[in-house]
Amino acid sequence: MKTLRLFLLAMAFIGLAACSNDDTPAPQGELPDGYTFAQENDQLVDGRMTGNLLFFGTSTVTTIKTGEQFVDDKILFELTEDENGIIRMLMHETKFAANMPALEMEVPGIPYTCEGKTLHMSVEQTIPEIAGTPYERYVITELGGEVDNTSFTVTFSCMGAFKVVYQGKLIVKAA
Amino acid sequence: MYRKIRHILLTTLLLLSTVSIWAATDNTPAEIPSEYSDESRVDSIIHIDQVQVTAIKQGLNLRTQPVTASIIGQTGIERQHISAIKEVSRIVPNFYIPDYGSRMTSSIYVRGLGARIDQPVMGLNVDNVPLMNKDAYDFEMMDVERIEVLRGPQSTLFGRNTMGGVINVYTLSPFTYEGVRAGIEYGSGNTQKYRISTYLKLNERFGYSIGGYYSKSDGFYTNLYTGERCDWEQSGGGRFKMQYRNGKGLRIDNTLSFSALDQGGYPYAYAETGEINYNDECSYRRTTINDGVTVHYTGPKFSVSSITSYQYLDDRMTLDQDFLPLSYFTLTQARREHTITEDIVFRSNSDKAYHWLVGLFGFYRHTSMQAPVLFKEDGISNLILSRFEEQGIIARWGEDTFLLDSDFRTPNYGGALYHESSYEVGRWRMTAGLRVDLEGSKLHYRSYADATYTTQTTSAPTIYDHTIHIDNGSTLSQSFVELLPKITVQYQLGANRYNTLYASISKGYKAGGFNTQMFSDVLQQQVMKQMGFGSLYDVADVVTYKPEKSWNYEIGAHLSAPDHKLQADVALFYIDCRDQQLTVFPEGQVTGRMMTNAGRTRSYGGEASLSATFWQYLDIQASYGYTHATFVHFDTGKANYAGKFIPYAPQHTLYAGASYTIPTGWRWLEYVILRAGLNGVGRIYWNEQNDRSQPFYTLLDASIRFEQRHYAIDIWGRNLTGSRYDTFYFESIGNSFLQRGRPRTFGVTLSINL
Repeated sequence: MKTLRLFLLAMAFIGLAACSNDDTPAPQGELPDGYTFAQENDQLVDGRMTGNLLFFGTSTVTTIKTGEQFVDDKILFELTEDENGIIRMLMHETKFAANMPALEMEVPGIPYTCEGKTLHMSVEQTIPEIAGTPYERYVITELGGEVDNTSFTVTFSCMGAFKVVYQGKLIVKAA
Repeated sequence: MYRKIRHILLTTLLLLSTVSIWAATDNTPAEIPSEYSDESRVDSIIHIDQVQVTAIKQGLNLRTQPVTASIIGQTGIERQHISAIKEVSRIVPNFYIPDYGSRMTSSIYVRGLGARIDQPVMGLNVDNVPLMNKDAYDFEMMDVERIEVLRGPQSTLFGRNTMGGVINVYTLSPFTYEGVRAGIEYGSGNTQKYRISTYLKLNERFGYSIGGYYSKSDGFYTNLYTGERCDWEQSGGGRFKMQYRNGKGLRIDNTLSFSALDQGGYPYAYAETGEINYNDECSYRRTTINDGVTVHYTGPKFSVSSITSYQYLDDRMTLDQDFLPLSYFTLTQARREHTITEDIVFRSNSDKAYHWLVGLFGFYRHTSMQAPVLFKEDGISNLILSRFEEQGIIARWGEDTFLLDSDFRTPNYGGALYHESSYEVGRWRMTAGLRVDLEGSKLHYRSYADATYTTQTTSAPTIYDHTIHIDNGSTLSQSFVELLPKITVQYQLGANRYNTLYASISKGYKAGGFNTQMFSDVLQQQVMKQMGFGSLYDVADVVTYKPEKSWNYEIGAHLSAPDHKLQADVALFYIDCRDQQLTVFPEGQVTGRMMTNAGRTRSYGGEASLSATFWQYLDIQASYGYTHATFVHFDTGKANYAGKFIPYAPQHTLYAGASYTIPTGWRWLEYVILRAGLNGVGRIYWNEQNDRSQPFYTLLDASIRFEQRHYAIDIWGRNLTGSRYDTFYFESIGNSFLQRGRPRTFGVTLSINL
């Protein structure tokens, strides 16, 4: 009898795991103070973003020429919608290499579509901004991203020299 | 190898302890030799009427104590023209105070330990008053009777910031000298000094003294930009001392002193050219007022002393921070500080084998400071706007200057309870002490900056307007509790109590606090962040540092001939210093430093001093110190300096001097004294990388003195061989700067005693 209970308990755990549609690995770094991982994405409603989405995750930057990789697992990416219904992606304190200072970079003009809890966004080329000034030098190309409930993945190239892959989880202010 | 040295010292201490316990077969109290002997010729004796903190805490004669100490008496002070603490470092081994910058920048390095941030490694007591701010350590001394330099941690008895030792300065007393003293001096650099003082003992109970001084100098170094000497100085001050004795064991001393200083200072030369050439003001002004009251009562079984002080410091430093004929940025630090201290000491005075001491100490210090940094056109262009140019952005600043300002208030308070017991058995004496030290510190800060600038891309005419606005304030606080133990074992060789061997283990402590100079980094981070660059650190992480601690292991000997014509002191030491206060770049960052306690250093070495008198008229003094001081751990986040020598701490210090007194037999000129001295220092590494250094160098001094009981005329010269050497090195915005040592100087001094 005892063995059966244990078996059923194990099956329950496996079942719960199987029900999860979350394939994105959880970020390893420490969350910012006062924040917690969201269980549901309440900002995607009726095909629109109704509020900002803040993600905490890992950025992997590959130098295209050398293949060298730089990984940072404490990166915040934020999606906001401007008045024209276009996404602006804010990359907080982003670094593309170990020996460069962090940048507060914003990528404007990213169109998106949304169905249910899934959002797709892409743009062929856009000029990012730092403190409101466009920086042509850091031109962003081939940007494609997806928000799947609480998971976010985006890839793009920067300056034609760096390939960036970001994977994050939605975080919200703790109650 | 370090374990071996520590093992040897520990084993020696244990052996001495074991033998002393084994030898303790007699329970009758040991015969305690009188401390009031007739040794007036020896400079090391404290006059009995003096109430001095050394006598209160450590006994009347340091050469009978288990401590490495150098003592310079009045005769030595006058004949060697010692008018400031840093001049003492010429003759004391492993004790180095370089002469650079201004009288604010007197950093002391002793046995490889130094002040890397703002807490000193050595305490300084002047007429029993513990000066609480090391920026007031460098002052013009007048009528000094005695200077003691105790090396090795004195934290058990003297508390915070005595990790490397203690300096005690005692001025003349009206109970030991009566009359009028005056002096006039003229020397190179149009240096002039004037002083006058009077000492009067009104009766057997009451005496007072009053005196004043003034000095000025045009300096020795020329700033090419202005065409004028930049290290000019003028200072003045005075002292009023009252002493009371009731003849029944009660003594009350009060010393009130004040000083005012105005100097240019900072004769820093660009290392590539050797030229001093900067366009903005560099200056330092300081006013101090100190009052210390010592009340001492000697009872039948114990004595009690109370040392109370009030200290006021008001200073202002202005720096051309780039030291170039360009307008990068200037720094000003204006400060006002009030401090009160109280030390109460109970000490047994029986003739038994067991002696005890119990003390209670407390202090409160309040500092107000304003520290603006002003960026000027070259600084704005090369340090701020250039970042945009590198990114292909055209940026223009809205104003000609950019002010980053910070206000601070720092209340700092602490208390301590300490105890020391000593037991004498035959020729052995064991001492153990413990101090419990509590300290709290707060920092109320406000930082602010406002500016406007515009940006434009090279390909489009659109101009983007930006505003920088910073107005942050908060309060940081921290507290510390430290246990500071000390154990010593001493053995008297033979019947002469001045011949002793000793071994000691003691813990030293340098207080924690807040490095307000790091607020320039805080503001820099905030400005960059508003511009879209960099990360913000927690302010507390950037400016806060915790206490630094050390363990000191030492063995030594004091040796003296019965007539004191020959005295020698030797010591070997090993110091393990932990939690060293450093600035580092956090992991993964390339901009923005922060304070941390991440360093560990190790130093070992030895000292030897010798003084001898031959044929009554020939006096010889020699001292040598060797220190091997290296980093054990020091990773800045950009580089790892483990194994490198500690910068600014000399490896060798050397002094050899001789004076020959010729009695003339004339009443109007009793003696002619010929004196010469050789002082050597080095190698000194200037940075953690150890790729720049000052090799060992020597300076030759000499003087001829015509002396009569009522006057003396000295003709003297320093650095007679014209040695070229550097006393300081640093880097600023990628440029290297040096301060050259003083050139050959001459002078004449007239002293009058009526």
